Amino acid sequence: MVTVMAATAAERAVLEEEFRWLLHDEVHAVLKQLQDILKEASLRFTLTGSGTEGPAKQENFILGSCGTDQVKGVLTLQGDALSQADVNLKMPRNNQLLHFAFREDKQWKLQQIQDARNHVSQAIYLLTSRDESYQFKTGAEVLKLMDAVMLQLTRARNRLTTPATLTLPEIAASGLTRMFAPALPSDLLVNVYINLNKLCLTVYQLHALQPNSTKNFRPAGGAVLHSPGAMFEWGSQRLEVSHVHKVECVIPWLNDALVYFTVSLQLCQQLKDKISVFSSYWSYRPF
Amino acid sequence: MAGNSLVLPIVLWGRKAPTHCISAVLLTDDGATIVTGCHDGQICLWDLSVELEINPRALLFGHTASITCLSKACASSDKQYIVSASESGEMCLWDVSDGRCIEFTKLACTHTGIQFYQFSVGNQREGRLLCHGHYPEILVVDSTSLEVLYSLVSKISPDWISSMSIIRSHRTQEDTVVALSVTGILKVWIVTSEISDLQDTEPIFEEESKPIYCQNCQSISFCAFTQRSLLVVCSKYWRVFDAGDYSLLCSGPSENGQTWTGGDFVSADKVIIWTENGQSYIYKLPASCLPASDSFRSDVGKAVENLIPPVQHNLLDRKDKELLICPPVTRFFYGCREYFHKLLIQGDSSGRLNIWNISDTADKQEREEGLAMTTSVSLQEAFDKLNPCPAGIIDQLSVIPNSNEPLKVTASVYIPAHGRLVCGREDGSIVIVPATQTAIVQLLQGEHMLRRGWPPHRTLRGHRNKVTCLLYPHQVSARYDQRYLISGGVDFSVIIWDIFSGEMKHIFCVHGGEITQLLVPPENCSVS
Repeated sequence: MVTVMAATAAERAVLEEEFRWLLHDEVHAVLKQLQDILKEASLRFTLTGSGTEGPAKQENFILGSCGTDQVKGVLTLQGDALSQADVNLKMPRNNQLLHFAFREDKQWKLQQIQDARNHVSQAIYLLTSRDESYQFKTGAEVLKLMDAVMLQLTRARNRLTTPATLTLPEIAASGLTRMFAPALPSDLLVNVYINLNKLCLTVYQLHALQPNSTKNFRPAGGAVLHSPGAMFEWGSQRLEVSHVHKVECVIPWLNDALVYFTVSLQLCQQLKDKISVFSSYWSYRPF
Repeated sequence: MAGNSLVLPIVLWGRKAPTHCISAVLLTDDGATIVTGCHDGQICLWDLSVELEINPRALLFGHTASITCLSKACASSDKQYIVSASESGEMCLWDVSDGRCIEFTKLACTHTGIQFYQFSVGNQREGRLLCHGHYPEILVVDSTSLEVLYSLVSKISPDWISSMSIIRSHRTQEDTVVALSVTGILKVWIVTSEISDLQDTEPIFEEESKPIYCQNCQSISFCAFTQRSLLVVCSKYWRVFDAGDYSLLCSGPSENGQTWTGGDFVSADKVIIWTENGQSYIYKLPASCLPASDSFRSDVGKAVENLIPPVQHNLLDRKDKELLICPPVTRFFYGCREYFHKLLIQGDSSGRLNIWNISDTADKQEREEGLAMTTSVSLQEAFDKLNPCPAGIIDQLSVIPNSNEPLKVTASVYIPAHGRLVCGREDGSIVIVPATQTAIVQLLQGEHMLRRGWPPHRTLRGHRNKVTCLLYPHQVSARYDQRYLISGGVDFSVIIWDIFSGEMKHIFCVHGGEITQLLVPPENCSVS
């Protein structure tokens, strides 16, 4: 019995040594790695902070679909806003080519990108306040920090992967419809959003439902992408979606940012697991 | 709820206080209740007496994520309502006097700060809640229905708002909302306190947008004493601005490299700033910051390095401070009607509230002495002071020789069908007790407690170490036999017990690690 106790005492001493190493060395190494990755991620967002002067660099994205070329768009992304949108539409009925562009000096802010950028900044702020000189006293402290960082990163990723679900009246009322010159015809609705790493432009072609139509009118709820047949009421008219065109383009730096988020989340989880292993030892009791 | 029957849940606490890692703190207007929100979503109400004695009164459950902010939510002084917001976008309106939840709503966005704004419509006093958070505007929410009425939007570089202050004007009906965005741009909105119906739907655009280059702003406060100065606290410095034209009056650096987390005006010429470690410092502002002095604004335009004011007081910490796992929350409260204290209240991750009374700090007090804490109480201390001591569920059965602490319960499941509570313990034993005896233990004391073998119970032994989970499958789905109870433990095994005979039916030892969870598959899945 005594030898068993001695063996467990020795084991305990080794475990404590290991835990001390974890708190003093390993944690800081992981935090440094996380900081580096997240700083890379935030650089990708290349936005003008309040310190740096000059506009963010402009990037043009050509949105098209490989199947048809009914809708083609060239969108210019500057930081977190679209500074120009050149949309070409080929109407199926009469093969007429319509062209729309943003009015002079108008910008359309993509809130998803700004939110993701702010969440990453919050995560970096949490990490920089715990640099090399900070001594972690307990494992629980590290777990709490990791939870907070993971929350920000998960939120950042979710903002990019889950665009807002809007109802058709909300899309019609959004300021985007009024940004174009020449003005969009009343039977077209346009929506722009980020989905994962892609910039998506959706164009809805509408036709008015006759008041004496036999169709059962059911207003469609909110969705990221509405399908043909969705109905809604706008002003005094009842409208139905006849065609939906969606074109998209991958934004390379968003792709990089998402990869960085995934890697960072994995690092955080691994550190949490390493600390948690020790928490079960502290209540160990020889039986 | 059908008919008149109201089911009131009652919680019976044991010896250990619940963990309360404080994330928000608020003192009600009447100075009688301190409200703290924690990272697990619970809100604790503490009674504060006139002599500054603290006593925890109630724990409010309702939120599912950590509380981000608390604010007062009622204009009249006879009702004490508060509003709480959590990380998942939930907002609750509570009555502080009895802990009732009056209203609940869930928004898509997280609030990081809420302030109550009172105005009058005719001779009615109404309240609005101005909220800011992880969205690029300030939402104006009705304080009784928690509906979003309209928002304060900004046209020039709109971004998340990190902090906000409402400046009430005594002369005109127009009040100013000053906010700082995360990119360091100061934004000003004019809000009128006389509201007509039309204004309730249109967004209001800002009057002014001025970059003041303050990174990582933690708080912004308007001086109620001078009605002229604005204090902006950032993580590495703090600054005082003239609220008339937002020009810089003076600037203070960080003390010993610590990070500031907030600050406020204590009087016309003193500010208190607190750090992430829970330290607080009182600074005396130079004459150039005081509108009443002749040299007001004489330092405007000078370089920041020349404008540093000295530290006047250093607020002392407790000697035997517990180890904290996250930064404490500190806030300054000043009552002008019901109570006249100037209190600095701090809540930390160990469930402790510290109060410093800074009402009468004399100017001639030496800097080295420091200001001592007035009161400090933690939830566990309050539990320990109770007499008789609250008893745990099966404390009489869990006595360990030579130890003060009873054997810990590590897993439990309640079986309403048989009225039994099953507790798994850290030594591997499982105890089955009739559930009503838990209430008896807490509420009644008597001779029955001294009888040997009381309460009637059954002990199942089979696990070699801590029991981590218990499952009664019949409760989850009726297709399982009602005799069986399943337990999992740290010893890598899952055991099936017959709950009526107490026999171990089978032991599965093939797992590769500790059992963390036992689940019942849904109805139409067949598990081979």
